[in-house]
Amino acid sequence: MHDFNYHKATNIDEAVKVHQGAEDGTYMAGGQTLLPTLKQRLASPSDIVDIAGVQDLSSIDVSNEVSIGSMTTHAAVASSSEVLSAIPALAHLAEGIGDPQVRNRGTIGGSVANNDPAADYPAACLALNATIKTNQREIQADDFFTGMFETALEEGELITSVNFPKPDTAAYMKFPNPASRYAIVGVFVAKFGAEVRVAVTGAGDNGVFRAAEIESALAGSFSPSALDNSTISPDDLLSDIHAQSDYRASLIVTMAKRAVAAAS
Amino acid sequence: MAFGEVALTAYVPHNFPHDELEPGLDETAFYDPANFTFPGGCHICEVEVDPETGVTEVTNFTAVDDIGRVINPMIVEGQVHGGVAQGIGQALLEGCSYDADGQLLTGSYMDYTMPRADNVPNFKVGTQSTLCTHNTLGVKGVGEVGAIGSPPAVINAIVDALSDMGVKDISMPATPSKVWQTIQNAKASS
Ligand SMILES: Cc1cc2nc3c(=O)[nH]c(=O)nc-3n(C[C@H](O)[C@H](O)[C@H](O)COP(=O)(O)OP(=O)(O)OC[C@H]3O[C@@H](n4cnc5c(N)ncnc54)[C@H](O)[C@@H]3O)c2cc1C
Repeated sequence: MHDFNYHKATNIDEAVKVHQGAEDGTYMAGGQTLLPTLKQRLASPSDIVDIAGVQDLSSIDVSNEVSIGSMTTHAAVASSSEVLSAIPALAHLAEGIGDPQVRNRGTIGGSVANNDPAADYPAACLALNATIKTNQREIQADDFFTGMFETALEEGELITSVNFPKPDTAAYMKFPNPASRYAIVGVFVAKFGAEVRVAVTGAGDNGVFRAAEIESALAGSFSPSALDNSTISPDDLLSDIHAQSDYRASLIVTMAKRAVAAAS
Repeated sequence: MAFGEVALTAYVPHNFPHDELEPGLDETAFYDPANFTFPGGCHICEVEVDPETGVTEVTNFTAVDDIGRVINPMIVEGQVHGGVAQGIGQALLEGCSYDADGQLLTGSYMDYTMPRADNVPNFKVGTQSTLCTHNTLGVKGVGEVGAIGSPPAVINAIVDALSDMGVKDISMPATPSKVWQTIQNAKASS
């Protein structure tokens, strides 16, 4: 690990200001991705702005949508009775992330900002048509995830909350990597009236994506059998030692069917 | 003179004539058994294979081993549990991969799959005690019996599950992706 200056911010303005003043600053939420990256010397920021102590970033508010503060841990989302009754699929997704240690440190803001191609939350954001709120603006999920580990966030922009509209029904099915238990394929299916949104994580060679073929098949009939003849092209999918692209393509359809079965 | 006194004296070189005697007390003996011991056993494994994902779940595992006289049953049972878990890991999960340049791809537990508690069922373990005839304790040893019987039992169970499709063999580790690929190949050639 290289040397860095450590700052503990107490409010949003202070966090942003310290970041702006730094030569090469970075925010730290639970440190679950950032600290291993620093230890392996894959990053060497000059300044770390710890946002764990910033007020107002770890609340869950449910009104006509579910607003989750960026510092909210996966464990808090998984056990929130409000999330469980408003969007049970979201609580279920949070419960399936990593292990208890990771769930008690890792945050929704860190997960979304990092946009790991195998992370779970990006699929929920995209399928539920979430809005990512920052200190500067509101970004629709469709515009937010721009590629592997890439987002629309500008330098120093701080996520304050992620806001999920409530679907009629939704479900998330994850096929975990047997070793890391990140998603090899994770499919989030959400139904809003006649519209069906389907997002796939873990599989795309450019990160999370919406599966248009599956969405249109399900818009016709929201049932697993509507996908009996669906296929996904392996062309833009990842291949690694755990799963070749054709296997991932097949898993996408299988997980989508199972998600629809769980949601209907 | 009591043995304790001998031992103490041997380690107090202060009192020795150093030019004649070195401190210490040791003796080496070598036991050459009259024959090997031959533990034997039978492991029975039941699996469920999900044909859509290739995931194998071990739903039942029974191991009965004849290890001669059982001196501490609890240690024996624990040893077999560990061995069977290791064997299931070898059959289903663990494998080193290298790329074409010789770079290890399974360099951490994020990629190398160790068996974890939820990868194994509750084991049923039993012993049979046919005493060994050529040592006085009548023991045969329980060291690796769990890990020896379990991999072939798991692989045979998978092959049995897929035999209707004409599958005759699958190599270890039978990971979900390999099982899925085996099923695809079997479908394509039938
Ligand atoms: C062993 C292990 C297993 C895991 N398994 C899974 C899994 O199965 N599924 C899954 O989805 N994830 C998994 N994760 C990731 C985990 O869920 C965390 O969400 C992720 O690592 C981010 O961690 P963090 O919230 O502590 O953010 P940090 O590590 O603190 O930050 C990550 C990045 O996001 C930036 N950042 C953080 N907060 C903000 C913000 N509010 N605004 C702008 N930028 C911000 C930081 O600057 C940094 O670049 C796993 C992690 C580990 C270590």
